[in-house]
Amino acid sequence: MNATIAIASGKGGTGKTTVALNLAAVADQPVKLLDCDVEAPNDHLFIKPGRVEERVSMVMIPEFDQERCDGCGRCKQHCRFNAIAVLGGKPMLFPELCHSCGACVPVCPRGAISEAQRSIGVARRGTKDHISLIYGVLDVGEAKSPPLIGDVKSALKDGAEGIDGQEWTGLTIIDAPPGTSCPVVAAVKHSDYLLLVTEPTPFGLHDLRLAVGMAQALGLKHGVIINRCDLGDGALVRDFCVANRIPLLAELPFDRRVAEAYAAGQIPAVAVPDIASAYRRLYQRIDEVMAS
Amino acid sequence: MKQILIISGKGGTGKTSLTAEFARLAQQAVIADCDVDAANLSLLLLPEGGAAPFGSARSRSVPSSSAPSEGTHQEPFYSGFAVVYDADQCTGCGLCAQACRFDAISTRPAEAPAPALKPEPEPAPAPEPAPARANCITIDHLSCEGCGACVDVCSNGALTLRDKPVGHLYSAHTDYGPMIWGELGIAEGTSGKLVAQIRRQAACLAEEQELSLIITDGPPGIGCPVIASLSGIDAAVVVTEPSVSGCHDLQRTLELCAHFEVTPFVVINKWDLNPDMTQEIRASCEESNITVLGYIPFDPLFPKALAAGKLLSQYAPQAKPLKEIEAIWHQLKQANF
Repeated sequence: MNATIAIASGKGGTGKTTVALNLAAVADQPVKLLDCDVEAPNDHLFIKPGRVEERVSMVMIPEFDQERCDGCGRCKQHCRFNAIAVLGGKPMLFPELCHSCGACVPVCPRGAISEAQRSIGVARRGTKDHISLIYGVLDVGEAKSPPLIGDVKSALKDGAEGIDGQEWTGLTIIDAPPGTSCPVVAAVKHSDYLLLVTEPTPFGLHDLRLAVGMAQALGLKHGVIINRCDLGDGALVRDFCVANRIPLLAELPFDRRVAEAYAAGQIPAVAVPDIASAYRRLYQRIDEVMAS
Repeated sequence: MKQILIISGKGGTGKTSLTAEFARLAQQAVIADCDVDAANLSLLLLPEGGAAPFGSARSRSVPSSSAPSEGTHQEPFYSGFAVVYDADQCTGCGLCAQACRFDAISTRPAEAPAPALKPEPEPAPAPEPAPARANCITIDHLSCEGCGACVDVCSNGALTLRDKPVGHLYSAHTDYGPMIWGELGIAEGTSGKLVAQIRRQAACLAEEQELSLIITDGPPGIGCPVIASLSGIDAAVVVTEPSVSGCHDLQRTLELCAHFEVTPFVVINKWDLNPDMTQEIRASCEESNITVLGYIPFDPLFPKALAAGKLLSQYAPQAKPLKEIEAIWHQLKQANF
């Protein structure tokens, strides 16, 4: 399979990371696994990659030359995010509000604004067996994750690379954060297929609806997986999928062995081999719906 | 007035379920839901005039927002800007696309839009024909951050900014007190601003109704909406689970609390699924002088109650976790914050 499959949910805790790990583990080809939940990245705890390389992720922020500045305040008035204050005639940046758009730079009549880099976290890369894991770790206290998510995803633009001497064949799995707002959009956009993992509860369905709306807004082909399908009312989600013509790709029952393996930091499809076939079938189903 | 926030780092640890039980035990408090990406607390607390419990046999349909129609006040929330394009003024110079740092402007014609989500199947609307002019631009509104850099470079007035509606604020009465929550529009940013607005309104409500406590259900993660929820909070109750992921995310959440100088209290949910790891978490908290308020046992009645759209205390009043939750609540009330 040569595709980018993103996994999102809306609601947290439905099993995105479990599904991402299991799909990566049972793939019979090299796979890139991108953990884009940069606020709370977990995939590396399970993959345990060897020899991790790290790159600091930077954003641009304005820097003010206080000698040139005459305190006119045009930069503060111009900033659409209220990220610049002028106190005592001196401009000051609120970095957590700055979107790194650069619009303030040409506005200064004295040419007193240039741009500097500020670090927001790190992107890390390491491999284990046939899986190349790339993940981001946002600095604690940083507000915005999309720039770091963009850095993690820039790994997709790398040229063909060998993993243990094997040809790169282009299967990518993206583990997205919970929710449906800008971090998730940054993670899943431009994917070939979006898997939405839900649970058979009113919370799960409510948030699935939002996630489907996001998929539609992004023009992404998408399908649903009901996780822990026997802990709740499965008909809730099934009826919703039928009514909206959304493929229901899998219904995975609760399995205490899976929960325990996950809790202990083991990839469930490796620790509990008899669930691996469900994930191989899932690949087939994804193939079918992508082709249709 | 005291403000309590329930957060977790990792999603799915039980924040919303616990917040609902706290709201019941508090008896009268202002209740806020700051998980604006996926606001679920209102589904449990059934605002007044509410509909049948979602997911019950009587009600197969789920409304498109978490707000039932009766008894809930709704107002739009505006934040930031959207770009408006006037093709008649455009000369196709492409400076706007060069100025944009968010890949939100391209200099190729638009593709047909995807059909909108509908509750009943309907034929897809016919796609609009692509513009014939070769010198037009396409704006990707989902990537656009409303910075206006494109507006600044356009000398033809083809681009302007307008105020952007990005979500809704809701308020209603529940059996346990007045509730405020919000929902961000799909794919929107600025969750922090909506959270800040929810908190401001909650504080106003508390003052108006002379209530001395605000209980807030927080978002997962540690990013912008969590940070906006955290500032000025008196006590953050961090709900974790004894798993490798739970531990890892707990550490990051505790670092965040330290960063913003908010006193954290830990609750270990489903503690008996891994007693060894529970013990590790307990030891680590002790080392850092962080109070563990309590240990809630796993109980399959909990997910069953959620599936029925009910609080555990409504669904199974004798369930084991409830005694522990009550003890946790009393310990929290007596704690110094």
